[in-house]
Amino acid sequence: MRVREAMTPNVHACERIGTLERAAQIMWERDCGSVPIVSGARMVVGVVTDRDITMACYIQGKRPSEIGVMEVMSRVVHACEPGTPIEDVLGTSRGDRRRCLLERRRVIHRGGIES
Amino acid sequence: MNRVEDVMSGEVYFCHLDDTLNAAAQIMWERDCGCVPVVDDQRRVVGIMTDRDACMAAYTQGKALKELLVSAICAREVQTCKLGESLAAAEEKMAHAQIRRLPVTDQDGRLIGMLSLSDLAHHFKTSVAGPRGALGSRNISTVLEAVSRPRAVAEQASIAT
Repeated sequence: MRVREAMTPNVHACERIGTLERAAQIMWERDCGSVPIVSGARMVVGVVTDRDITMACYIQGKRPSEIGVMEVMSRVVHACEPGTPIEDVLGTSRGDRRRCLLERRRVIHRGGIES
Repeated sequence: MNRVEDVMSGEVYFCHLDDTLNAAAQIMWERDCGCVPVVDDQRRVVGIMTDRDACMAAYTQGKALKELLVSAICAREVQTCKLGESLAAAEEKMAHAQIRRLPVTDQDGRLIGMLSLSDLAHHFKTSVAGPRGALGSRNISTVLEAVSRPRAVAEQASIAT
């Protein structure tokens, strides 16, 4: 089984110039807890989770609309290609979790992200 | 047979209904957890608060966490497990309610610990019986699949069965 058979397509992403309000809006509307952050050229530059938003609002004492996603997002993004075997992603076949979790800066699967 | 108290974390933390979300988030930050039980003055569990709940409340109401009360946001219908309950019963509750953590209470409903899916996975991995455990009900991957299933899909599956 390959990643493309299990992944969720049509992922919504947040522009890097957006605020946490926009990221939270996507999480609310799509019922998800994690949003990729992309540049204008659909390059993935980070990821923000619902926990990141809560912790940022707590630490900074601000509303989501007052905090930029760039301040909060994780910049190290582990990604895999659609053709990667699921076993490699899970690290169950070779016991090396990071073997096929490539750090990439571009969304490979066409249509995998629509921002 | 293993009981919930053999596997749960006995480290007890909680917030109250009249706390702000800021107080709940502080506990999540300091304890590195994503879920805080809400208790009354008798330490009986009356609600539960997650980091996602706080995030969504701040977004939908456009407010800072210090401007929001736990009483207005927390879930009031809380799945719990009691002292002495079997692990099979606990994992059944997690799968059915699609939750990863259960507050553990004594016979009077007072909070005494938390049991997470991670606690169960760790227990089964290290137990003599192996990952399928001696439970004979589900294995952890089955529970995880049920817990992680998108709500809409889960509701349809529930209707279909």
